[in-house]
Amino acid sequence: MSTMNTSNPIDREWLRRMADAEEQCPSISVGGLAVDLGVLSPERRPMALAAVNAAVALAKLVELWRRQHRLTVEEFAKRANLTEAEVVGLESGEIVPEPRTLFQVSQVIPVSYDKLMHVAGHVRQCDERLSNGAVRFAARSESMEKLTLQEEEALHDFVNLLAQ
Amino acid sequence: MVERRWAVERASVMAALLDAGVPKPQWPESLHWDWSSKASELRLLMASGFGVWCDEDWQGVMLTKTVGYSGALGQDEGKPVVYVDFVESAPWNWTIRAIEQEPRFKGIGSLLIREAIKQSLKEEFHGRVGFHALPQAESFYGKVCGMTMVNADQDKQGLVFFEFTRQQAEQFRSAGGKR
Repeated sequence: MSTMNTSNPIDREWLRRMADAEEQCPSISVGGLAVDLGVLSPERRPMALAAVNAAVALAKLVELWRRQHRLTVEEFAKRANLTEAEVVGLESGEIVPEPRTLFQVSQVIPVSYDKLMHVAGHVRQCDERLSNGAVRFAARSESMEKLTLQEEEALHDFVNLLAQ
Repeated sequence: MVERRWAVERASVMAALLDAGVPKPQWPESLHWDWSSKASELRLLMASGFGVWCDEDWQGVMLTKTVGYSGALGQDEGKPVVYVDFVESAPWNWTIRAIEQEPRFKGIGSLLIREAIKQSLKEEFHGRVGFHALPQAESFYGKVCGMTMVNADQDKQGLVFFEFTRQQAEQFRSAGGKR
C-alpha cells in the first residue's frame, strides 16, 4: 500500500479547498470493483444488512465469550472441536464462518445454531430483528484484554437474542 | 485489517441510522459492502493499492488498474487510462447529516484521486483517469472535480463512467477542478 505526503504548503491550500468542497457532497465512493465482485446492489443480496456485519458480529461473539470465560484460543478450540487456526480465523472477522464451524461454536456457546446460521447469512429467510441485533452488537464492542461493562452488556444482550 | 476496523464503524453508522429511523434509500450507498466475504478474490486482483494513513488508522483507500480501460474523449479517445477500481473513505469520514455525523478528516477522496492522476502521469497516460462512480458521488466528480460524465455503463449495473481528460486532470491538480 502506498502512502502520500501532504506536507507541501501548496498541497495544503489545495487540500483545504477540496476538503471544503468535498464536504458538501454526500459521497466519493467509486464502485467498479463492487460491481465485479457482486456486492454493489443490496437488492441483489437479501441478507445484505446481516452479511455486512456477520463476520464481525460472530468474531466478537466468540472472542468476547471466550475472554469472559477466561479461555485461551487453544482451550476454546479444544472444547469446540475446532483447530486453533479455525478459531483464530473466526476471531479475525475477515470471513463469514462455514455452517460446520457455526455448529461447533453452538456446542460451546449457549446459542441457537439456527440463529447463528441466520446471522451468518447462510439462511436466506431474512430475520430483521436478528440482523439489526447483529449490527448493534458489532457496533458496541472494542477489542480489549478485559471485558468492559459495555462489552459485558452487549455480549449478554446478543447471546440472549441468539438463545431465544 | 482495513475491513475489520471499518466494518465495526459501518455497524456503528448502521445502528445510528436504524435508531434515527432513517429510510434505507437515504443510507450511504457503500454502507452494505461486504468485503470480508470477498477478501480472497481481492488478493488475486492485479491492482495497485493506495491509502491515507493518519492517527493510526487508514482514512481512505484506493485500488487502480493500468490495463483494460481506455479513454472515450477528444484527442485521447481509445488511449489507456488509469482505471480507479475502488475508492472509499473510512466510515468515520463520511458526512451523514441525518445522524449529524461530521467527518473526522475531510478531503480524503480528493487526495486519493489526485494520486491516481499522478500515477497516470507516471505511466505516461498524461493524467487520463476513469472510473465508475456511485450515484451519490456523481455530483462530487462531475461538479466539483470537473470530470466528464461519459455514459451510464450497462456492463457496470448502470453506474456512470467518469473521465478526466489530460486538460481536466491538470486543472484538477492545480486548482481543484471547476472553480
